Amino acid sequence: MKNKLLEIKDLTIQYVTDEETVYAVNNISFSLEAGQAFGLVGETGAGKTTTALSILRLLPKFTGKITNGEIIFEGRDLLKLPVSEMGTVRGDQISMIFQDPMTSLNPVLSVRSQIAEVLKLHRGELKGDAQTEEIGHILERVGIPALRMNEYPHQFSGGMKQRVVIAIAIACSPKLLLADEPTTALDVTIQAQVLNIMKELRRDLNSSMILITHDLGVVASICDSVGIMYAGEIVEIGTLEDVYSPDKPHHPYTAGLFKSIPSMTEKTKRLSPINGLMPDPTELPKGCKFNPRCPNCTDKCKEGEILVASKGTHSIRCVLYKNTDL
Amino acid sequence: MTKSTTSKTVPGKRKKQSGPLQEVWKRLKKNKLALVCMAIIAILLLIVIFADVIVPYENAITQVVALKMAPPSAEHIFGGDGLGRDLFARVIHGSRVSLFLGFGATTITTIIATLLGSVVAYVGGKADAIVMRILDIIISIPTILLALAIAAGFGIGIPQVLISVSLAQVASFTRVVRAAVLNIVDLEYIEASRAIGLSDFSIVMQHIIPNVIGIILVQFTMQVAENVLMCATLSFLGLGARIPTPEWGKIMAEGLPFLRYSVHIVIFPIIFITTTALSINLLGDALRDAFDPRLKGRA
Amino acid sequence: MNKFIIKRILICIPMMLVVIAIILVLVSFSKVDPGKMKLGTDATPEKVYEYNEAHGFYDPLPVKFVKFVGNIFKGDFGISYYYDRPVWNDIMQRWPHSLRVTFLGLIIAMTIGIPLGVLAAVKQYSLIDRIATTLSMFLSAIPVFAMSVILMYIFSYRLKLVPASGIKNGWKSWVLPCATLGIFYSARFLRFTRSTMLETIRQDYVQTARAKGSSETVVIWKHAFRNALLPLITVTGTTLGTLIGGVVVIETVFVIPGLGTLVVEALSRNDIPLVLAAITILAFTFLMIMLVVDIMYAVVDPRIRAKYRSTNRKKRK
Repeated sequence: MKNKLLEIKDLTIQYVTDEETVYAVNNISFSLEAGQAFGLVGETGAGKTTTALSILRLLPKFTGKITNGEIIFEGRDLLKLPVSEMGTVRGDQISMIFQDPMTSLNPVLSVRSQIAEVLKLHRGELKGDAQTEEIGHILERVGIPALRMNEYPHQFSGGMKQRVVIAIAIACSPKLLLADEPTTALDVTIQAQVLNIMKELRRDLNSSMILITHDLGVVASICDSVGIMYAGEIVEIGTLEDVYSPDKPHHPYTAGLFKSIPSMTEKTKRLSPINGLMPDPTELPKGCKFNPRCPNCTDKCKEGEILVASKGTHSIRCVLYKNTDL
Repeated sequence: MTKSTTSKTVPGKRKKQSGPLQEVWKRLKKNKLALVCMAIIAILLLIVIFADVIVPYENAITQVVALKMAPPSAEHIFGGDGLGRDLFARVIHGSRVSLFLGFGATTITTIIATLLGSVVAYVGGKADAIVMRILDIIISIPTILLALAIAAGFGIGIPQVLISVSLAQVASFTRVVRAAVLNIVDLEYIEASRAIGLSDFSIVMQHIIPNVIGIILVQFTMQVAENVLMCATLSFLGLGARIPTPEWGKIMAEGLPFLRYSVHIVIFPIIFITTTALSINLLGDALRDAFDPRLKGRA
Repeated sequence: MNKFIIKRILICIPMMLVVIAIILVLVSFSKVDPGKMKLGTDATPEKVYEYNEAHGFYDPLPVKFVKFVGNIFKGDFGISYYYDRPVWNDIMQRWPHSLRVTFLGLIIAMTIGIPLGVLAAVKQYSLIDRIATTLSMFLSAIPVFAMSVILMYIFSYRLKLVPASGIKNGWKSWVLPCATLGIFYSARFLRFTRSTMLETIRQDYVQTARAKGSSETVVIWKHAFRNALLPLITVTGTTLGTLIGGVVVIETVFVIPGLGTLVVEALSRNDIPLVLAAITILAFTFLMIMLVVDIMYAVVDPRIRAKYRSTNRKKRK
């Protein structure tokens, strides 16, 4: 059995305020090996970003509460670490790329000083010219000319900004890269460029990656395995082939997602979206959280815990399937 | 924001709509602090209106030797001031002057700023640019200097203070109104109104002003508190109310030389001014929250 | 960057001229007749007219304006109606005192207000935050003169720690006036710092900094505060306007011989040249500090610096 780099078990996260409780993540589990890229797919509000933030323990101080679960990274449960030690993990072993490049960079600091910040924290032995040289290398890796390092974020375009963000994230060659919708805010052409860079980096650094996105196409181009997330739960998980293959059984939500992609080859009169909206996270439906929208909904779906059917790498949380069906 | 309730039994007939202002009022009523403030302000207004009934005006200006510096007593609740006048009478009647100055100056500013701001924002273009430039320059002069210059040219007195303070605030108030109107002018229903033939005047009256009323109201409230303080300060410096007219700031100026011996002369006007300004300020905050609950928590 | 500074300094000149013009126009409405004041009530109307004519009292406004501005460069503000001596001397004697109060007050206000504001924002809803916010609310409801009087009573008359008025006691005389001004305006800085910090702390780049592993202190000061600095500098400028008013009050209450007390005294004596000169110098002081504030803004914000970058450098993408 290969050593798992990251193992998440039964993770449950809530946002608690005086008025209400948001059940953001409900009992999810998945794992990642070294060098593997995992795509976490779902609509907005499914709990993907919350999951990623929890790995780095960056949830909002007062309201974000991890009520259950373990996040085991290289054998250590990150949730049991004192917060001060997280500082050594963040940026060095696990890095995160945030969603909106326009606002992820500090507007009053130069690109160079923002990269230097990470280096100073985790590669303190690099000083002066050596540090400058290293910063230059890092920038070139993401396709930015080294002599631009003294410029400020506002002097870069959106795609370049995102590359700077990536540069900061990979500066210390992290073992795990969390990318939260890294290309969503960019044009399609720039998207392709940025994805290419990420692929190259993955190859060169052999880092693992959790790619959060709602775009199935992006997942297909980079990831080895996929998890489909809905209302805080992982409803289907497996290798790329498991989840994308039309010949295999799928969770009705997954099926709905794939069906809603407009076809390049067939002519259709209307698109087929999934009916309804995601449930209010403060008041989730009982039983299967997808049941109000599911075309195959039965009485069994509305109550109790829904069991997971799994075979090999493929798992589906649905009443319709038993282990043997997969 | 508002839900129209359609009467189920009679199609076509609608129950009275809960308009945006009623919504605001509802939200305001829920805020206990706001209610307390409104009560305090109501009491103050009553004092202003019924000052003569509470205590005759002569007491505020008649000097009685025995009363000089007298500490508070049963007959004279606040005691006597440096010249032997009944402090209670002076403070009560002073409220008229102080509040009149505060409200009056703000009203003048509001009227000018609303008209100017709305028109300038609506018309736009060169007129907008020129007017804003002029206003910028006026804003850049500190209020006190403006007031001093006006005092030099026009002498000392209540009308002068009114003019100084209201003019000094016109610039910033106009900016606020202009910004609010600009937000709305761009909206498409203005275009639609024009398309169906409404005159510019009607558009300003029917659409623009009702929507900025909220912002104007909040700004007005905050401004009143500021102006009461400002006018009191100017009177304190001797630029406002003239002898023997009582005004909270002036009363304190008169009490200053006697501070060494007794503090009651300044305590009472301070309590009144602070309570007034605090209540109005808190009410303004509450109003702003009531108009836009999303802004709650911001300073 | 230097271009920006030069441009900004040059703008001061027309600004100052406009301000002088406005002040002059307002003051010129005065019905005070210098001739009558100087020569007394039993002087003949002809003598009065002669006197006024000689001193340019009947000149049209534009001429007065030009003469006034021209004379300033010669160090001549005219002759005081009351004291019958050049105004310039009184002004120059008193100006340093006003400057001292202004600067010390401003520094104290910022030193107290800004760090407390950051603290209140970082520890939102905590006890410190609640106390700080409530205190600053009270401070903004009480007029400056009231607070001065209260503090004077407590610290001077009751506790006898510092002198109540005048400047004869060396540095001790300045403690209460400057501290009062400082504490009063610290409320404004506190409120504003707090609200700006609350906004900047929620920005994405703060989260990025945390994800890098930076300690919370670094995140707050290097990232959040550095960005909050920009609007803070702006608000310093606007606070300055009211601060000048505060200085006048403080001088009056604590009997400090500065420009503020000069104006008020001169007003009561109808000494127009003195009033005019004092207001002009106060306005000048204000504009100079604003100049510094604006330049500071450009120094701190690289986006503004970039706008004025010289054209020989590599053109930005």
